Amino acid sequence: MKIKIDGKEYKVKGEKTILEVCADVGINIPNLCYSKNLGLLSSCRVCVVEVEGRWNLVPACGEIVRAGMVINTNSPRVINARKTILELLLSDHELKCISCSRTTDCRLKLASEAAQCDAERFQSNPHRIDGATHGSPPHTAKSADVGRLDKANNYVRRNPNKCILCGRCVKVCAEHQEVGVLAVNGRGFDAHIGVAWGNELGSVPCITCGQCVVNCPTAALEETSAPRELEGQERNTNVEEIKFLREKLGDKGTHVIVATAPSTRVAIGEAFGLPSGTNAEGKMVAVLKRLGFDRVFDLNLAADFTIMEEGTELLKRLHKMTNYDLKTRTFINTQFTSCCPAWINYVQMMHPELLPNVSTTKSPQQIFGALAKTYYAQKMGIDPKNIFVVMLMPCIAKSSEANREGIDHSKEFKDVDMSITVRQLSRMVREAGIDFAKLKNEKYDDPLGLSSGAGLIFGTTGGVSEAALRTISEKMLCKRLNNVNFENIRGEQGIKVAEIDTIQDSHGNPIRVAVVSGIANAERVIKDIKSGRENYHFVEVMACPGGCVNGGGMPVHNDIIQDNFANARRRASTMYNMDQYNNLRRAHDNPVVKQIYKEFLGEPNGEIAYKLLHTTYKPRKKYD
Amino acid sequence: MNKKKLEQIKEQYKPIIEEKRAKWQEEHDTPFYTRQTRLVLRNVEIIEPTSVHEYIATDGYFGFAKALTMQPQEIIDIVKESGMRGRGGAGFSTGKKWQFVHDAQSETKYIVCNADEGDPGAFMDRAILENDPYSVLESMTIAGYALGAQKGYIYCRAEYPQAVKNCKAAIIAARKNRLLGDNLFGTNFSFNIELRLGAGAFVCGEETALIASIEGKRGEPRPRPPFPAVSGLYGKPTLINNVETLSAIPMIIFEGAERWNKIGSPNNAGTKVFALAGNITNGGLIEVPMGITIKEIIYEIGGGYAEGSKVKAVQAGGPSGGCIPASMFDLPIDFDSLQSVGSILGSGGLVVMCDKVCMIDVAKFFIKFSVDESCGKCVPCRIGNIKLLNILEKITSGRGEESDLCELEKLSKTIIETSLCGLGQSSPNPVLSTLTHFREEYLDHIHNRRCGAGICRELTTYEINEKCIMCTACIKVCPVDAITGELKKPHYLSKEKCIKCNKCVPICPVDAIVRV
Repeated sequence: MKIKIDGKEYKVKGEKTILEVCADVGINIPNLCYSKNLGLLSSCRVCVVEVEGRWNLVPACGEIVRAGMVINTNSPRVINARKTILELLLSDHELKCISCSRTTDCRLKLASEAAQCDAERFQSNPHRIDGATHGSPPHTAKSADVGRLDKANNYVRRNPNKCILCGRCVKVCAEHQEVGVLAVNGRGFDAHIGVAWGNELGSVPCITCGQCVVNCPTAALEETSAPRELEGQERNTNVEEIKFLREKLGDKGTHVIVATAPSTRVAIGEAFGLPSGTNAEGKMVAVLKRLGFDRVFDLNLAADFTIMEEGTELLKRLHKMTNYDLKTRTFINTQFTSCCPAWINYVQMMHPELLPNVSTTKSPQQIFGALAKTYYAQKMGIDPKNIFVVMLMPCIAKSSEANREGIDHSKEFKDVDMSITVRQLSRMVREAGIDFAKLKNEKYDDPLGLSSGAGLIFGTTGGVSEAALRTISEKMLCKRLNNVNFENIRGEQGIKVAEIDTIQDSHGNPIRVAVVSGIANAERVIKDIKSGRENYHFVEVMACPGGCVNGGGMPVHNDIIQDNFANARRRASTMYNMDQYNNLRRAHDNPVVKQIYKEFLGEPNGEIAYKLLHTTYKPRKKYD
Repeated sequence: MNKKKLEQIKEQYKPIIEEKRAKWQEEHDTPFYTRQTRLVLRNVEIIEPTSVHEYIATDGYFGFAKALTMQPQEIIDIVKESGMRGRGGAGFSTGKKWQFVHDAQSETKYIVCNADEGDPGAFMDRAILENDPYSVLESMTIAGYALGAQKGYIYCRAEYPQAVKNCKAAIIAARKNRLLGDNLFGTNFSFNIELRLGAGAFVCGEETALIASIEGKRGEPRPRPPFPAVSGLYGKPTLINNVETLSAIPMIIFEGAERWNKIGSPNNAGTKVFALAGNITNGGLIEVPMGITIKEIIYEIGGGYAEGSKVKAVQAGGPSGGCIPASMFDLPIDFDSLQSVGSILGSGGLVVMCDKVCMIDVAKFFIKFSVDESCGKCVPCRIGNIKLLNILEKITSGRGEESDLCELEKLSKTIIETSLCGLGQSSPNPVLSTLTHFREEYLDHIHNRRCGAGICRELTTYEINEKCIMCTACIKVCPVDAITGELKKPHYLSKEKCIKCNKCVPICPVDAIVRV
């Protein structure tokens, strides 16, 4: 069909919105609330355009083009309306753009700059926000200067003064994650995003997955790293956490090491203008060394250890007679993965009855921390108290994991001292004035720098299962597989189910695996298992839809049509490519893994391994 | 229940109703009532609201009995022919709406009665639900049959406890008498109605917000399309009609389309119920044919203005409507002509305003209402309305500039053009209509720092005039000792000290204290 945009005729195929068609032909209509992954919100009204024959202005995000449509995207009427709406938003926004953590990628800032808005056209109004901090009676807060920072949650911080009420966080929390701790409270001008009973985010079952943060168009939601030394201190901005880390790096008495999570290498380049999915492993290592980290290691190695331990655990489970319902000959003791900390938070709060089914193996982050402060410390002859272990993560919940009760192997120090997101690192790089794109590739340090492709694909949904299947298949069949690709558990679908015919449990049933990403999907699988509709030997759960490649700590994109899934897809595909061309594709082949077991840990699930690499879980209260 | 039984009941109860009706007419023999055309309010104050028998005696459920003998399309055609336009405010053709829902392909459909009457000063839906709930139940059942729906919801605001009580009782009685339930009148048509209470949000009168609220979600509108007729309640085709619209349907079906379309003006058939209020002698609910002039309503039904005042304007349509100046009182009242002067018919509030009313204050009142009642979802409505209020407050506090009027117009235009739902799209109407028709009043506030009506506190001063009898009554009530003097000696009012609390004005026995 033919349509006309700004006087020029275009041919359009299929059902597309005005926003999509315009983006295709190179007209970027600014929008704040629209995300391809979330469905229509249509709340910001910034994307309004003129459609001939319509009395009002039409939001481009929701309007499907029809044959013969005549659209104006830059008439004075459209530009004025867009400008006015942005100016209205700015009048209700804390204009601390220079010190804002999102200053480079704030959708509101970018759109307002383009529209040449006058931020002072309208006077600002105070808000009445009910159920204020600490249960005090409703009070009046001047939105622009007093505000109510919600700092009760140690890992996700809310700043209502920067909120534009687009509703993305509410939608992602309720629909993708089915956690639903965020909602719009109040109405009219006093409407605001809040949690139940006007409380704070720390007192509700937030799993700190951070999906709200990556979907926030402004800095109304931010991650905080919460290292233990800063606990209880007043921290108003990310800046202070970065400052803390920089001081550690500058301290000669502290040996600061960093390990990079699998998915970070395919995403960090995006923060510096490289296309999404670019493999920037070498540059990332280089930049970390440049920033002053004493050693840069690869967390993929720890992922290999996770496979060794978790795989062995699964093998044990598969052979235990009590795990079977002999009548129906079905497996009744599913093993859930434990490497996603948001998922563990979810189980601890919402499904404590499943805790015995969660693998006791620590996540790669915690395995790395434990090894760094034991094996590595011994080897290097450094007192573990003087080692500061930093994790570079695509994740916000990893900070909560580092602080989880009972996770550390020793009472004297933490295994992981600080976990930072890719975004936080990119801020440090920018601060240091390093031109990321110009860096030469560098290699990980020894002895914790060599890893397999199996460890790498941990960064995407299905990766953990695939890595585990590579190892347990070969162990069970006692032979080497020619093809270690398990294609049927790849891809971005929320629930993937595979039956592995080649290997069986002790009753001769093929191994059934479910791969889940997104807590809403996990809830569906849990219901299926509980009702007896389905049974699985092994269930991999990643809280973020698509896995870590779409994690809560990943760089935020400002594509005109926001599509986090598409970015995640590109990152995942790069990772599978890297795995394909890696000579080392099985965790149990990794010579470093073999060596550490030989020198230090003994055997998988052995006594020392159990002490260092495994943990136990306690139920947690939902509400404080 | 079947038709034969209906006739038996009608026979039995007819004398009672006739007696009641005669008595009512005798008691209400004043122009306020005799000049009205009471169709929708036909049973109000006459029948016992919860008595299904008395309702049947007024031809109740005969419309439904007739409908069952007809094809669904025939019923819709009658509704179309009647020219009925939705009484909720927008005036969309009811027949067309029915047709859309009828044409939507789905096993499950819903009929929803919108009884979330929220306009300040409008209470026609309340009167109908309190006094004639069966007319709504019957109408929804007819719609259910005609459109292929099995379930209906009445969404009533919880602030109407009597209406809720009567509706509940009526639903129970209708079920008992097999006027609701399975296999009605021995056919295979089944229909049930459930009552849902709104928690008092004005925006829930908007169709999509109402649907969200019934579904248990936050009452927020969503973008249309899809329209509720295609994807409404629980994603199914849904008919949403206002109480007043529904209440007229049984009569139209039973007596034919002419009963409705021969009344009223072209394109605006039938009658409309208005809530007449303000500076008028007789206020209250009135039902008049469409096309009647404002003058006729004010003089012939309302009995003229309240004594001692000069009428200035009529505000129609509540917070979405506008003010019509006295010079336009020959205007016929219907959907189209009111829209042509920047007001709307709305749900039918008519507030008569005299010269003691400041039009900017009126605009402020309605904008304040929209600021509070916006759901807060879309930006222009949530933030835009409060900015309009800021500018209006600036003007009424004597800080206004002429450029503010331009800003009011520009901002209003953006709010109207870009808001998500009808609330935002019409909320600036009170500002725009007063700006159009009472611009000189705005300019008076801006240039002369004067409020002609003496309403805006910052712009008025108090004076004691020659009527003063030196009684010291005002001196005693003044909280800041701004008035000085002794008994039988002249009183003086210090403008510097005066805080304009207005305590002295009503206490003065001779109206000697005036605001200028």
